[in-house]
Amino acid sequence: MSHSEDFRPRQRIDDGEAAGTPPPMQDDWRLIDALEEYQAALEAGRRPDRQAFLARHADTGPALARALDVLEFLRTAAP
Amino acid sequence: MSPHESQGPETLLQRARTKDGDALGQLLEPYRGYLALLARLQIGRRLQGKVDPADVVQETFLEAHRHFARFQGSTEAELTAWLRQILAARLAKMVRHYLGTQRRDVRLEQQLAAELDQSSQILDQGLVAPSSSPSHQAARREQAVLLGSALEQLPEDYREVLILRHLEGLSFPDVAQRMGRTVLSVKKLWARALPRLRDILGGPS
Repeated sequence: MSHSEDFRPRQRIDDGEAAGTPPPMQDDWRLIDALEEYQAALEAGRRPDRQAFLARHADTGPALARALDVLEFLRTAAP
Repeated sequence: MSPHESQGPETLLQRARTKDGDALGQLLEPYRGYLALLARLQIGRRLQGKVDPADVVQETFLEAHRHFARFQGSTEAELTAWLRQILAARLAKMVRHYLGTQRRDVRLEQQLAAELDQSSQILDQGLVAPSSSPSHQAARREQAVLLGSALEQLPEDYREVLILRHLEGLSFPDVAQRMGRTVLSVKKLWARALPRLRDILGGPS
């Protein structure tokens, strides 16, 4: 289920965050959805075509590519 | 540029052997985050909520300063192995304290040292290094050291969510419970922490 389809209290996702944090934006959910999809693929032993994945999620902005670098960096690091 | 980047750990090691106290401080400082990460993972298993990893690392550094003349190695790998031994002894002392036993337990120290070695090795092996990743620069250094140092520079909430999710392997609901937040909140922290860590690790995009 994608975050664009479900019903969530979107104005409250910042619970507990520091005062002054910008309000949640739709971009956050797009990024979270994309990262969860990529992480699930890595955990399943697959490595998605990175360029195709980035192209498919181009609306998430430049943070996605940087975040994918770290997901790959950490992918089997759990002791 | 840090002293390690400008001189390299091996050069600082040589300088520290000449009783250059500043060099020894500069040599050890970049391992603060690495040792804190290892301590954090061990404390999570045994002493959660009772011991601050930063305190254990500070005691480890004091011991390292005190006994540096005993260190015979010449490489970063040998130095990190020696620091892990000291860390294991400090952790063992804390475990004994919280278990209510005073006598030194060599077996416990050996077990902790073995677990720290294993954690460090798994971190090193697990940090896969595609050529376009931030670990490009890590090829010359122990990757667990770089990761520990980078995590140290993150805001606490960001560091916590990455450690719990990726290094302790918890699910998001379990991460949320440990952090006292909602699942949605920790997912948002996670999505912001990942690119921030990438920026700290640096390297080519």
